[in-house]
Amino acid sequence: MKSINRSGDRFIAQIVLFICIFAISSCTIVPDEEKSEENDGKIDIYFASGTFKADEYAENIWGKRVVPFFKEKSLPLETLLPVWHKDQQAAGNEFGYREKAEGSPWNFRVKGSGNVVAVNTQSRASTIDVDLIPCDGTSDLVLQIGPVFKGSSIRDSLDFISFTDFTNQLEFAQLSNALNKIVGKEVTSTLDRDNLMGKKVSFTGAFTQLQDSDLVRVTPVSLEVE
Amino acid sequence: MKKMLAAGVTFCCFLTASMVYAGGLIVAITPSPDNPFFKSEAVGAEAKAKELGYEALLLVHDDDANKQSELFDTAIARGAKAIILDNAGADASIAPIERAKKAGIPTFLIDREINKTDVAIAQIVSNNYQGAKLGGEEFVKLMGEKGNFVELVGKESDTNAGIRSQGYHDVIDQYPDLKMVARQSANWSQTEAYEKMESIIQANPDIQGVICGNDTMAMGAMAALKAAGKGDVIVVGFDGSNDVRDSILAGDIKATVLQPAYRIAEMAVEQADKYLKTGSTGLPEKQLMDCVLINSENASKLETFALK
Repeated sequence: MKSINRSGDRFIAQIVLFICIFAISSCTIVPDEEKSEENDGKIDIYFASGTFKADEYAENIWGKRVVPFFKEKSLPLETLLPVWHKDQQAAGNEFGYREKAEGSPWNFRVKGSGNVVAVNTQSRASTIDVDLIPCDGTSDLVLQIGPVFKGSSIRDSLDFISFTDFTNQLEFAQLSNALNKIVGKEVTSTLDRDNLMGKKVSFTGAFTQLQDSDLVRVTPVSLEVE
Repeated sequence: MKKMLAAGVTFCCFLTASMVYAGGLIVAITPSPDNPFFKSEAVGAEAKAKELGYEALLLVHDDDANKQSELFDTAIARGAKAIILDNAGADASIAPIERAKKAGIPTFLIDREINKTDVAIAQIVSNNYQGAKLGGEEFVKLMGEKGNFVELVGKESDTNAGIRSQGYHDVIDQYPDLKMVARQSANWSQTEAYEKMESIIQANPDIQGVICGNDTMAMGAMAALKAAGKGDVIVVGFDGSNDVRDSILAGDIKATVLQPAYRIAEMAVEQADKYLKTGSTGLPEKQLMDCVLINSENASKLETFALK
């Protein structure tokens, strides 16, 4: 019995060895350069699982949750701005939102109406300056009108979105990009960009406290031009 | 007899240690402190641990997942109260953290995240993507939204090399008049960046900007550009090192992005302390720490990965 067992083991070992040799000999070594040439301009993101469909996720929450959320939660800018210009921290504590305290700027969900007093479409990150009602002829805020939108104000204003629910910061970033993309498509793509100067606009949207600045840079969730 | 003696000595050591450090041992495991960024993490964790009454043990995994796994065994064997970790792999790190958890030792991640939640108690993640977008936006502005540029990428096996590159491209690729003429990895290295930049300049003399995945590569690129008489090319880095601060103040490199390494490490120890005392940090597990843009306006306030 013993000897049969041993020869059986040996037989299995031989098969394993054979498979190994076969497997190794059938491998081709592909140099790294070829791969990076293929991916020129886009490198592999090493831990992105690739299963997260950001656009789908964003589309699913946009109409159902994001738009109603802003309709309900937006604070009139005329209430916020006097506090904001005096003390951003105090404005944040009273009116702002952020998921955690340290290392994150405050986000504000706001609404307002006013006149367009400047149009900057030179940059692809185009903006309009808005003078809020009651108008005094000076700009109170800039409103992003794309096609490039800076920041992640919309994502970071949503209290039903938590970073902990995402696998990693890339997925979390993709969500923000997808939300900004919807803004470009649903909110700002139909604007008559050459004829905005002097028009009256009403909007809801979000802005985030910027580094060393009191600029109010709103990403719109809804925007009407009269 | 020998055994008894050894046991006695161990007991005495334990006694002294526990008398001095009432809180017990906190183990901090990071990549090599040769990079001042990681050194800053280790120093920050150690200082805060001592301040809060813990003994601190600093270990280095050299970005080697196997070594990291062994260091976890060390921490478990030493009966650590908590582990602070800048990890060596978003997937490879999950198993040792789970092992520590089973041994009753909570892990607090700093800088880099792992691909799983509910294993570590906290993941205080440096928001590399947000930082890269800040750096990218500053680069676009400095370039006037147009021109030829070069990208130097970090080590391709490093998660953050990919995230930063993605952040840069998500911004820059939206400007069709910005053309990337070369894109190479210089493996986070200053000398390699210098050499790669030299040959890139020869092949593409008409470049207006170089965006780099970290500060050491930005230093190498800047040196090569100056040597080629192209000191006016716009160079942007990432990390917020003192070297790049000095370069910005001298008018060479134009911008970088600060990751608050020291503060992140301190926060992890504070949260570990709170968790050990109350059973909760009171914060969500995953916490993004935003990066800060550094340019000529605020560079003078930068010192050892913190703004004064």
